[in-house]
Amino acid sequence: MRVFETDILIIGSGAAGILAAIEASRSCCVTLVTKGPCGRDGATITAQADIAVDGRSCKKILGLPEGDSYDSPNRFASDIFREGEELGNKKLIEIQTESIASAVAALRDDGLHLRGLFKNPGHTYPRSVWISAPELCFILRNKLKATQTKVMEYTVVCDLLTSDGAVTGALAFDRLSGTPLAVRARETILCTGGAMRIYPYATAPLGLTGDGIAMAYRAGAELLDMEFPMFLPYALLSPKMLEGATFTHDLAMLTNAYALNRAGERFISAWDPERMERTTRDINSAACGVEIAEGRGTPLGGIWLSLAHLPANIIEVMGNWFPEGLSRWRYGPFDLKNVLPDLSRDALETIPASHFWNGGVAIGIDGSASIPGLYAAGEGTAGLHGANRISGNGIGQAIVWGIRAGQSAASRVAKKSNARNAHPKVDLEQLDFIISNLFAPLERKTGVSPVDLARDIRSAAWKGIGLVRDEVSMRDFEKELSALRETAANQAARTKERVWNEDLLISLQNINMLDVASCVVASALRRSESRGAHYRKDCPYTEDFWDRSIKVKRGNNGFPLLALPDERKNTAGTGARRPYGQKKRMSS
Amino acid sequence: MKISVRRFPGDYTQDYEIEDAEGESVLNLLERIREKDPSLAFYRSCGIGKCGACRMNINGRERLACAVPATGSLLLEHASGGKVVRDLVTIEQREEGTGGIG
Ligand SMILES: Cc1cc2nc3c(=O)[nH]c(=O)nc-3n(C[C@H](O)[C@H](O)[C@H](O)COP(=O)(O)OP(=O)(O)OC[C@H]3O[C@@H](n4cnc5c(N)ncnc54)[C@H](O)[C@@H]3O)c2cc1C
Repeated sequence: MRVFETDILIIGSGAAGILAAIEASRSCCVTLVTKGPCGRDGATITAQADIAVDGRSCKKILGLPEGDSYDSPNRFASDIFREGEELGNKKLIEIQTESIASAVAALRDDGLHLRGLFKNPGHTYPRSVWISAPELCFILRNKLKATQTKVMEYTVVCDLLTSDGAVTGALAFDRLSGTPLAVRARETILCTGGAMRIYPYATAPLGLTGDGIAMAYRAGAELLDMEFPMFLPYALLSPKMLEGATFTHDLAMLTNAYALNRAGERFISAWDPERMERTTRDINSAACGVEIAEGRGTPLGGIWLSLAHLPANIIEVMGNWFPEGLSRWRYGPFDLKNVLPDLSRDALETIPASHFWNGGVAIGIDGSASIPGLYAAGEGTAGLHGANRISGNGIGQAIVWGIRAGQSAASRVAKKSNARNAHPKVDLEQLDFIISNLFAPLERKTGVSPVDLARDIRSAAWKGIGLVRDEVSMRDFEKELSALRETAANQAARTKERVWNEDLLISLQNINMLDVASCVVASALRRSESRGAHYRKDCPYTEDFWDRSIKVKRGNNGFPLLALPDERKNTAGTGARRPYGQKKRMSS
Repeated sequence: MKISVRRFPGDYTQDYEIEDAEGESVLNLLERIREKDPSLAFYRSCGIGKCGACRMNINGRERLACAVPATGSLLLEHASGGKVVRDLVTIEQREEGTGGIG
């Protein structure tokens, strides 16, 4: 086993991880470990992509003439709070809206093209600054290369190391050599993104299985808002080649497309007769979810999206005016004319696919987690979005909080510099335990295939904690989870190769998916209402009592332990209610 | 459909037979092959043409395996330029900076 020592360990190479490394490496030794190729393995490179900045700053700081001077960071903040169904943390929101413009300006100075400004749903003003995500990642990678950061690619972190309740680094596994390595660090920053892949249908890359969230949970850190995984309605379901593609969502939002159930009905009229398919993502997802759950979906279990009521020549030229990402009916390297059916005749099968993680590691205003030695940034953290994220705040969050966590961790290292020679102790027993768990699937001759188990976890999660929830199916899911956990303890890799062993990687991810799923179901059971991305068929209303976030920690018995602010004044079920989807105070 | 994969270490070609493969992406086919042969190594990340991580040589041309529909017979080889880790997995020169204590 190799052992490294570093001041600051950063896990993940999306926008959050790379920016944290760039900041921290100004004064510290930094090691960045990432699951795949640096800057290309997370959600960041797949974004479509917009970054939300208030209109006034768009005009003044970014020089975008379309920016509206009546807008302000404050107005932006109140939109985030309202659209997050009043669960967002006002301090984090304020930092986001005050800091994003100058961070984007710095990226522009590094060569990032700002391609225009648009208004997206949930924002009162045009705030979506369009950029190219691959260009952003390219710039970030080059900036990172110019620093002294040690980058370790294709290296998967298995668990955090702790000593007396403080994080002291992490144990990782190098996929290329098949060897474990321990990193001892004064401060560790988790930038591992979301857990979208606990579901069978997702728009996000395969590696996003909530590893960081699960590791933080196992190390004793507090999580928040775990019941709010967000789904993107009308992602493509078929053909399989393009499963998870998101241009169909944009078609649904920007054209007069119809969402239809198996009877050809526009079911959305029962949910939002005014905006119809142009309603918000959460309402669309819940509405589609009910159709699917009640057996009125497509043959593959999705929802039809149809343009067939429109003349063929209107559809033909859509490819010309449609925003980047679908120009001339090409989508990246795909020629859609060859892959999709004739849209003037046939509908497409789509599905609300797992898209973003609103919850995650609870952080303070400096990006610190609730246990010493640990920071977190980007999508794997909670508190900014509350129950629902508005567009442009995913990348925006990664940028602002990556920078912030990098700076905070570096100043913490500087403060503790008199103890510079005393690197944190490593608990050898713990190290042995993690390594033997890691390699156990290689040792076992018989057992369940990790690939089969992953499939089972995902399909159970889809049913139990998917688009539509209720007490009975969540209780069933809890039982299923304990059975799946027992199975997980008996995983056997079908090949014993150490170098690039996919089964081994999946076996490790399965454990993380199970931990994340158990936090989601515990929180979702507790929240006896519907709000934002959390829709419960058995309580289809939003209740004032629940204007508060649920915290989750790992209890001593190994099960999630929940906490609410003002727990003693629990009056759930007795206070004011409004129908799901209705805002408490109407937006301006 | 016959799919031939150039495999490493050892540098040999192995043939697989897959049914109902026409029109599937090469990357999805590889996924199906791996169900049967878990030792087969390739890399998948976004799967929809954005990250570029599934680049490989398909019938003599460098392509993204996620975006190529399978048709006819296929010869899959690792992408050129990098170092072969196993089978279809290659890495560019590892991006390791000079810093760090260890
Ligand atoms: C299809 C799509 C479109 C989107 N479009 C937009 C948009 O237009 N605007 C917007 O604001 N947001 C958008 N988002 C959301 C936004 O892209 C993300 O929220 C943001 O990029 C997250 O950045 P991050 O750095 O926190 O995480 P990521 O970019 O996801 O990076 C996570 C990193 O952690 C690594 N990692 C994970 N586990 C481990 C482990 N165990 N060991 C080592 N490394 C690990 C990953 O490999 C990766 O490098 C979109 C998301 C998707 C999926």
